[in-house]
Amino acid sequence: MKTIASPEETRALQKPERFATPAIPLRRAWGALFVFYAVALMLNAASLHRNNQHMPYGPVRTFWVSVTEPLANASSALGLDRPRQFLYRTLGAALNP
Amino acid sequence: MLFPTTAFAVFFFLVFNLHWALAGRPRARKAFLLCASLFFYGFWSWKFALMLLGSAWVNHAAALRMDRLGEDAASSRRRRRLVIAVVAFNLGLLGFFKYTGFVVADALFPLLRPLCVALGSEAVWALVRIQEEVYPWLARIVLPVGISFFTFQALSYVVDVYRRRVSPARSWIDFANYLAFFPQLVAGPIVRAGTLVPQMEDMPGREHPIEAARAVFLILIGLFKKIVVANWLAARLADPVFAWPERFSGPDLLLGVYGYALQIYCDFSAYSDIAIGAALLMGFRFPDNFNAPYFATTLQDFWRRWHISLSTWLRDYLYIPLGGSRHGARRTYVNLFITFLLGGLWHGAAWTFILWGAFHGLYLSIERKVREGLHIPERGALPTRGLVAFLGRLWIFHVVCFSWILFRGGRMENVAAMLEGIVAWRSRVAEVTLWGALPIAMVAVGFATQFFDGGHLWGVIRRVSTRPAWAVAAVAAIVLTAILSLGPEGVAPFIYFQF
Repeated sequence: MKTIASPEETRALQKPERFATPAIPLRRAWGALFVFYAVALMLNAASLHRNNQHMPYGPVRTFWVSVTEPLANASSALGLDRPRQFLYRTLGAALNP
Repeated sequence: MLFPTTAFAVFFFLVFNLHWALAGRPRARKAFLLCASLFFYGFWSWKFALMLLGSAWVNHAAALRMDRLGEDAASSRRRRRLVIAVVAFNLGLLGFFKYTGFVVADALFPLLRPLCVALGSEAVWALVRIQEEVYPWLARIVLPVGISFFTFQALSYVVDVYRRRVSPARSWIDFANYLAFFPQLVAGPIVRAGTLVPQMEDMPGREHPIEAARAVFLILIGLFKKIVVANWLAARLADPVFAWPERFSGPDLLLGVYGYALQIYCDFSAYSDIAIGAALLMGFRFPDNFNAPYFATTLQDFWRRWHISLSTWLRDYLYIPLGGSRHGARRTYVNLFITFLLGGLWHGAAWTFILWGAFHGLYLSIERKVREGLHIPERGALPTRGLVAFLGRLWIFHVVCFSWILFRGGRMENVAAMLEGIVAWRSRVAEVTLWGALPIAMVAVGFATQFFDGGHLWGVIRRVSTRPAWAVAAVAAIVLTAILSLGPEGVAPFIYFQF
């Protein structure tokens, strides 16, 4: 597409040097995303499993509960569900009684 | 499919992986992205996903036809007729789904009732029978999620093609991907065709570096603003106060209004942040949509900071075509008023939204007149620091808060009750007051989240991005866990979904 961008549009996308944020190669971003999901999953597996158990009964619920149950058990065995429980007990419950 | 849900997390994980895995196969990649966006939208309704495809086809076909026509008089007339037809198509689609109920039930019938009473009992019974037929039909019209946003994007495309500012997209699928791109489909930002279509035509390859630190930062900030701040302010302050204003004292009503001001900012800017961050991870760049709006010193400044994509759209496709400021002061004020009146109507089909828009249009006109009277240039002349700036910010914050009463009030009776309670500074009605350390702290936290806008924390992002990517990812997952543990159970929809 040929465009005649307005100066504002150009400025909006081409930030000045002081606002430029570094970028990383795709391979590293990809790896980082896997690490993010893996850590987030282990820290929140118990809560995810509880949410899935509240789904309406049916094949979808059965599938997701079977996926999250071993993860929740592993998370519990490793004590990785405790940080979230601690945060909820100390702050979360006070914010959302 | 809402952003802060497990379903979206799984969806995005799959889409991100396949999007980059298909980087060496552009056609398959574009088809996959379109299918993913339609799946995202079809989560609400597959019928509306088909409607979106149909809209993409009509708009792109019209743009191609307009581009092929020459500059001679006959072709110019044909181009003009075509752009009018396709603009009418887009506005007709928006009007049917969004405004039919309002026009019929809140405008037409209230006008007909006194007329029928004057004509006699037969006319009254005829009107009653018509209402009994029409109301059930009106109730079946369901507003497609995000229709206001993608309609405005389609309009900007066809008008820019007509004005020869952009050429049509190389292929229909590039335009369809622009219109349906899932991060910004449902609640913006309203990205211009000239910004996003070229990125869809030449999608980033595997050599394209990812601004991962900024993307993750934006997504986490957005989740914090939505899950922790906006949801709390809605449940504890704004919703009770706006639901039963008669039951609250003046100070409680004021705190409720402050709560709503920060709720709508955190809610809406959170969606934009997550949308921009998700798009960045996929290699696409969107412009910012918010820039610390409650730090504005004038209302004009506020509209350069709030929902920037909408305010610039209204300026370029409504205010300037109406004549802008080119035809004298009086015409400028009229153009401002009309632009914001229609901007209010865009937000919702109710008299309170129209009143909200009219208020902003009127205030902006008065502000412009005062500035011209005092010979203050449009930009850069007002102080940004010191007592004058502070008082200006305080004043404009309260002007905007007043307008939020109109915006959120829902019905005129509610708006009147809110204003009556605040103006009369009604003393405490019930034993319990909303004022307390936690509500004040949450309002303050909501206000402080504006420091994440406009690049204030770019230094932090740059420092974070010098760390190993896997370490940043692990810390981000911990931060996400903290955010989720501080939020309530369940997910409230984003406010702007209703628009």
